[in-house]
Amino acid sequence: MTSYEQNIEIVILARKGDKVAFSKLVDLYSKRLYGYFYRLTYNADDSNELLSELFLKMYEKIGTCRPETFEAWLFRMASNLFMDFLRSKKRHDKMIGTFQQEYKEETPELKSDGFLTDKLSRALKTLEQDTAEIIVMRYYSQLSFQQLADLRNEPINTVLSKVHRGLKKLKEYLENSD
Amino acid sequence: MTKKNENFDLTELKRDSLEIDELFSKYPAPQPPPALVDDIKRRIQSQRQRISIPKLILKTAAVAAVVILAWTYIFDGLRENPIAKSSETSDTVFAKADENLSELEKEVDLLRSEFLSVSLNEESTSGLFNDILTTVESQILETDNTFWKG
Repeated sequence: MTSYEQNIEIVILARKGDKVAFSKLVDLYSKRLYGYFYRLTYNADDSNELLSELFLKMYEKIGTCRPETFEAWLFRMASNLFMDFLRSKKRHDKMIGTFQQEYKEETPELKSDGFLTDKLSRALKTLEQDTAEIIVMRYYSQLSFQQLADLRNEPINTVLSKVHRGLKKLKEYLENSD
Repeated sequence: MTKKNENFDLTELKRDSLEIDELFSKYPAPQPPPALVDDIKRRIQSQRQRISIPKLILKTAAVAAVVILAWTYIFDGLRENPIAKSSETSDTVFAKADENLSELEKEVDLLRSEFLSVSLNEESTSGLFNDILTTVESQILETDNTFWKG
C-alpha cells in the first residue's frame, strides 16, 4: 500500500469519527501547515493559533471532503482561514489607527517573536499577497499548478505568470540582500 | 499541466518548480512546537462529534416540510372524502329515493287495478292488459275462421 493509499485509509477512518486517525492526520500535516501559516503571517503566535483552528475545523467538517482530494480540501480550508485572519487583522489595524487619531497617540509596534527574522520571510513580504500565497502553497501543499489554479478559481496561465514573476522578484531580493 | 498551459514553456515550469523547492529548503520554516501539536490532539480527543448548525437547520426544515405536506394531504383527503360528501347531501338523496318509491307504488297500483279489471271482465278504456287482450282475441278469431275455411 502506498503512502497515498494509506493516507486515504486514515481519512476514511477519521470520517467515521476515529480519533486515533485524527491524531495521525495532525502528525502527518502539522509541519507543512505550520510552515504555510508561518511563511504567510511571519509570526509564530499567529501560526500557532491558525494551526489549532484549522485542525479543529478539519475535525468538524471532515465529513464534507472526499478522501481522494483530502490534501487539496485541507489546504483550501487553510487558505480561507488565512484570508479571514488577514481581514480581521486589517480591521484591527484600522481600529487602532482610528483610536490613535482620536487620542493622538503613537502606534505601538506589534510584538512578535521572530517577526521577519529570516531572509525568505522578508523577501516574501515584498511580493503581492496572492503571489506569495501561491508560491508558499505550492511548496507546502505539493499540489500541482493546475490544482492550485482550480483551488483559487484562476486560469492556469495567470497562476503560472504570478509564480514566474514572483520567483524572479524573490531571487533578486535574496541576491541583493546577500 | 498539458493543454491548458500550452502557452507556458514546460522547461520553464519545471525550473520554477525546482527553484521554489530549493529556496524553501534553503530557508526552512520553524517546526510547530510539540506542545502545540499535543494540545491540538488533546482538544480533538475531548471534543464530541457535533452536528453542525446548517445541517441541523436542514434536517429540521426537511422534517417540517414532510409534516406540512402530510397534514395538507390528509386535510384535503378529508374534505374530498365521498362519505363526507354524501353526509352533506343526504337530504337530497333521501328525497330522490322517496320520489322513486312513490313512482313504483303508482305503477304497482295501476297494474293491480288492471289485473282486477281483467279478472272481472270489466271494460277498460286504457291500460296495457286491455290492449293485449284485444289483440289476442282478434288473433283467436282470425285463426278460428281460417281453420273452418280449411
